This record gives sequence, C-alpha cells and structure tokens, in this order.
Amino acid sequence: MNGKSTFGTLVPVVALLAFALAGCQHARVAPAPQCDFRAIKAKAPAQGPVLVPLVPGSAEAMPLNAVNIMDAAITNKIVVQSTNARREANGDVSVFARLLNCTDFALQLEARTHFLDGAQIDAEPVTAWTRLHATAHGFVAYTTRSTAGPAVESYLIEVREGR
Amino acid sequence: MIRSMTAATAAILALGGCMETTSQVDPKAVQAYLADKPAETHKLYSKVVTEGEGNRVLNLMRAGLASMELGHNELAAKSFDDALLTIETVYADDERAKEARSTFTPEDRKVFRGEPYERAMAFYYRGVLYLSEGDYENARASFKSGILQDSMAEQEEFREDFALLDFLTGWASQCNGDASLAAEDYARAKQYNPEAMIPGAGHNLLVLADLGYAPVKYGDGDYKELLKVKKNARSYSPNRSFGLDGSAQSLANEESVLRQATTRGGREIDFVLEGKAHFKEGAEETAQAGAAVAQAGMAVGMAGLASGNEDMARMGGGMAAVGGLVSIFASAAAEAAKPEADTRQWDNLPESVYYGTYQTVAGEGGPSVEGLPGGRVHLGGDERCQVAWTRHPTTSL
Amino acid sequence: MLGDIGDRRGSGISAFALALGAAVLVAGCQTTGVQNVAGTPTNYQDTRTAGLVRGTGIESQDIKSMVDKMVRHMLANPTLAGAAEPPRVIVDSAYFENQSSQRIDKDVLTDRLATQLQISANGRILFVNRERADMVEKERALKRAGKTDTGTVGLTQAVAGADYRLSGRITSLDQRTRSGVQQRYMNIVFRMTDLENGITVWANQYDFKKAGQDDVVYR
Repeated sequence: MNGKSTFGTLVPVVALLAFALAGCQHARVAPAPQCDFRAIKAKAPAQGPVLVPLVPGSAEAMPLNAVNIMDAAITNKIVVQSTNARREANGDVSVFARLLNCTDFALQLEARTHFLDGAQIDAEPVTAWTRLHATAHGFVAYTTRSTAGPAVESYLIEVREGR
Repeated sequence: MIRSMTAATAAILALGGCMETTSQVDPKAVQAYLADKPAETHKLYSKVVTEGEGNRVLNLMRAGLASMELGHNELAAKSFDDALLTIETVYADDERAKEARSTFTPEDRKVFRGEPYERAMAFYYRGVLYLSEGDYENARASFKSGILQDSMAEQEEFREDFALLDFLTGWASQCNGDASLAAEDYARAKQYNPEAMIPGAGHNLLVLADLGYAPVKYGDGDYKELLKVKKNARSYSPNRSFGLDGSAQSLANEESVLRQATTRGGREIDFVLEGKAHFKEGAEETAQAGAAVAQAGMAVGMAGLASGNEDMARMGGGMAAVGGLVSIFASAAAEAAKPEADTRQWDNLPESVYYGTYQTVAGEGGPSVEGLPGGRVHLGGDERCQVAWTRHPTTSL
Repeated sequence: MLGDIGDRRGSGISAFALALGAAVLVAGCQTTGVQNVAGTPTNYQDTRTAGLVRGTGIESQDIKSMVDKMVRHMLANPTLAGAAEPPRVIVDSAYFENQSSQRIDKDVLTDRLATQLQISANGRILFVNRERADMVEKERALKRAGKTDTGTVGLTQAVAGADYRLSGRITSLDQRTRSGVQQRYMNIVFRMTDLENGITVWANQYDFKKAGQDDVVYR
C-alpha cells in the first residue's frame, strides 16, 4: 500500500470536511420554531390513565387524554404542543390539541377523537376525521366536542396524514 | 448486430400486433346486461359490453341518446350518469392514457371520454332529462358542468361560449324560483349569443329541437395526426316553426353543435401525435435511404462481378445486405408507429339545437306541441315548468 | 515510536479514516430527527396527484366529516339541545338547495344529518317527520274512523307542530383551464330557523377545495 498517496487523498477530504463544518456557522436564521425529536423519543413513561393490552407486554400502554400520532409518515414531522379538555355546562367534553408542523412544507393532517367512559369503553362512536391544513412551521388547532354528556371520562385524539 | 436488428424488428412488429387485441365477451354477460333494457335498444347496448372499457362512454352516450328518442328516459338517465362518471373523473396516471402517448400505440387506445363538445352535450342531455323530471337543481348542476367542459378552446373568445348551456342554467334557476340567479345566467347567454331571446317572466314551456347530423371527426396531416372536425356530408334543412296550443310559433334561438366542435383549435395531445408523425416520417426516409444503399450495393457488386474485381463484388454485396437490413428495420418501425388522431365520435349528435321558451296554459295532459320535425315530441316537467324535446333524424337502431 | 508508526503507517491512516468516518456518522445520529421532506401528494389541492384520482366534488368522506361537525355543533347550542322541554325540529332536504355544479342527491346529506343528530341528541331534540306526513294522516284517519284502535299512546288533537327547520345551500366556484386542471371550491351552509319568528338560531358551514389534472391525452 502506498502510504503517501493515501495520505495525499486524505488531506483534501479533511479540508473539505473542515470547510463544510465552517459552513455550518453561517448567519442564516432558520424559521422558528425548530423541533428536536430526541426529547420525544426519550419521553418519560405516561402518567395518568392508560389503555393496557389484554396480553401484558403485547403492546405499549396507550396514554389517555393524549394525542397519538399514528401515522409513520408524520411521526417525525409534527409535534403535539399541547392538549387539553374541558367539561361543558351540559356535561359534554370539549377537547383541544395544538400541533406544530416542524417541516418547511405545508402538511395536511386528519384528526379524530375517541371519547371513553369510566370503564374505558367508547361512550359514543369515534368522531369523523377532520382535515387540518398546517402551514410550514405553523401551529394548527384541532378541537371537537363529545355528545354523550357526563358519561365521558377520558379521550384519545388520533392524528394521521391527510391523503 | 444483424441478430439484434432482427430481434428489434421482431419486437416492433410484435408490439404493433399486440395493440390489435379483441376481447371475447361471454354471451351470457351480454344477455344479463340487456335483460332489463327494451328490445329495440339491444343492438346499441350490447356494444357497451362487447366493445369494452375503451369505448364504454361512447357506446353509453349513443345508446343513452337513442333511448331518450324512444322515450325511455329512466334508462337514458342511467346511461348518461354512467358515462358522466368517467367523464368527470380526473384521469391522471392512467395506464391506457400512458399507452396512447406511446409512438407505437394509436391515440384511440385511450379510454374514450369525448372531445369537449361531446362532453358538454352529454351534460346537456342529462340536464334535459332532469328538467323533464322537474329536478331543476340537478338540471342546473348538469348545465353548469357542461359549460366547464367548454373551457379548453385554444382561443379565449371560444372558451365557455356555449350560450345554450348558459340559457338552460338560467331556465333551470327560473323554474326553481331563483330569479336573480336566472338573470345572471341569461346575461351570460346574451353575451355569447347577442341575438338570443331571453325567457319572459311568465314563460313556463321550454321547447328544444335537436336537428341535423353529427359533426364528423377526421385526421388531417400526412399521417392523419391532426384531429379536425367538419360538417356532416349529409345535408339537413331544419324547420323551426311549430304549433303550440293551436297557434303558430317559431324556435327563436339556435346553438350550433358543429360550431362548438370546430372552434376548439389545437389540442395539447396534437403535439404528442406530431412527434409520432415525425418519427414515422424519419423511419420512412431511413427505409428509403436503406433501400437506395442496397440498390447501389447491388449495382456495385454486379459491376465487380462483371469486371472480375472480387473485392468490388464483395463490397457491393455487403452494402446491399446492410442497406437491405436498414431498410427492413426502418420500414418496420415506420409501419409500427401510430400517429393517427383518435376519430371515434358520438355520431348521433345533432348539428344544431333550436330552442325557445313560451307561455302555455296548463291543461289536461300538458301543452300541445305539434309540427316539429320528426313528429315525436317528448313532454316532461311539473307544475312549475314544462319541457318539450324532439330529435330528428332519429338514431338508426 | 515514530518508527513504529512509520512501519504501520498505512494501517494507521486507515484507522484514522475509519475513526473520522465513525465520528461523522455519530454526529449524524445526533441531528434533531426532523424528517424535513414534502408531504404525500393528495387530491385535495395538489394538481400533480399521481394515480387515478376521483373527481373534485363532494365525496363520502366529506359528507361524514361535515355531518359530524354539524351534529356536534348543533348539540352544543343551548337553544336547540339545552331547553328544558325538548324542541321539535324538521330535518329534511325540502329547503336545502343545490346551487353548485355538482349533481347530487341532497338526501344523502340530510338523511345522514337527521339520523346522526337523532342518535346523538338522545331525546334532547324531538324530530317531526314532515316528509311522510301523508303516512301519519292515513293512520290518524283509520283510528278516528274506528277501523283500528287508538294504539298505546292515545289520540292527539293534531300532529306535532315544529319549532325549528333545517335549511341550507350548496354552492361552488369552479375553474377549468386549457391545460386540463380542474379546481372546485365548495361551500355547504346549514341553518336552523325558528318557524314562528323566522330567527336563525343556529348556523354553520363546511368548505373545501379540490383540484386535479387530466393526462395530456385528454387535453
């Protein structure tokens, strides 16, 4: 092996890498907010009610009163900024979720909600898919309301990509 | 090299051959399809099944219009609904459409959806059928959709200039009690046809007479690659007068379907077909050149033999062989290229639609409309509006 | 030592290159993980949709989504669903007008709305069937003529009068270009009107825009 020639090719490679790294330090401002999915990956175990599978360990416990991004096409594209629920005067439950589009492209999403009673059974049929248009790096709000009155104890919002 | 050329020639010939597929349809399937249709329409409707998917819309429109002429409105409505399903679908990445673009496949390989004038007329007939059911909202939707089909003309002045459809959109609104919407549509009809007579407020009868023979499509250019439309060779002299409840009337307005068909101008697909024609032309020229080389080679070879020059004779023989092969290959390619424009056409359309609106006193059995060409008038509608429609000459069954 | 390196200089350099490569890879793992690419094209607005897409009008998923939205919103309305005595409403297509360019059976929409509303309201709203008023009339006549008995709930003076009635409108804006692009914006408006004083007590709407482009062989 000719060491000199190997070394000779390595020098421009290193120079190129150094140049590339230097390039990273330019002053271009990226559109905000930017997302970091490492934090989501390292999430703490769910607090509060969960849906557990019949066979223990056969599926992850599904946290309730939460948003489940069920579509692999968007799991690394959108972040759930917040979710909340409110008991209305007539006993119905209004749920709310705010999603952030982390990409530089407009996205179409669809969301629906399961409303569950105290025994974690659907208190009413799942809502229809609602289409949401999320602009690049923009928030999009999803809201719906149950119709089954005080029976509703928990909810689960599902989100997929709109096709 | 020779082997690969032969293989390529065979492949091209095979490719050309593939396109001429005829599908065998189970006679039981045809019978089942015809079971609920009147016997007189069987000949037309059997083609819907036997000619397959590619011609389905065309056969449905032909049979639909013939059914309407015979008074089978329900069947006609079903046929047009079926045809419009395909017409309204957006054909993006369709396999047959892709094949139709190929140099070695003719344009008529694509699923027939009609040229804009044919699509607009399909919506017209569906709309007229809705009018005779008294469903003015869906009639209006049909006429509106028909107008949209007419938006593809090359020159802007001919886009969406189907005054008949604007007029009928307005008429459907008027019958539905939407006077302000009707006024807007009538204004548009007047814009495209300044001589159009607009319905009076008290008018409650629409008379439509679809007269004459269908415009004819033909392929123009050296290879019939340019789609053109011309007047039907059979002449027809329309009669616009008729009797309404005993008094003489005349159909005031005319919409020329022929004009709608001939003012579209060039299509985008024509550029694709032009490319195919260029290919065919090039291949033909190459074939001729190859044949010339072969001929010259033969002459050189003969001269070599005659003069006892072996080298010259061999060279001449080689030239003749190569030239001959080039000629065979190129003429096979030229033969296989299919630049012809799709001239399948809705051949029972009228040349023109004559129309007008009138006031009639609703009596027992509706208005009496007499003396229109063909004699057979189809009446429909409800207490708000009546429609009388006729077609002459009728479709040969 | 230098001599050692000199002897194994070739392998030393490959090791260096390997380490450098590994470092670059590890650095790669530590990115934010944002999958920063365009979304899957849909037939709603993207005119370059691949595949045999459907038309640009109201489709079943639109009807389901729109009815779901209306029902939930209606039941959140205190006038309609929060009254001490359940109000009586008429939900049918008699006053639901289609002004759009899409041929549609309006009953597909209003039937689903009426049914889902009745299921979800669960007694909070009462529904008057005006579409089949003749059916009710016939049975009332039979009861009063003594041809049938009076049933289990007895006779009423008259059929139920309604408090509110559904009306609505479907409108569209259409565009079709020479290049085969067709685009349709549709807006569907629903209203519930007081049948005594004419006041609209509830209204909502549903809209969407869809587009598609035909293959060049159809242009």
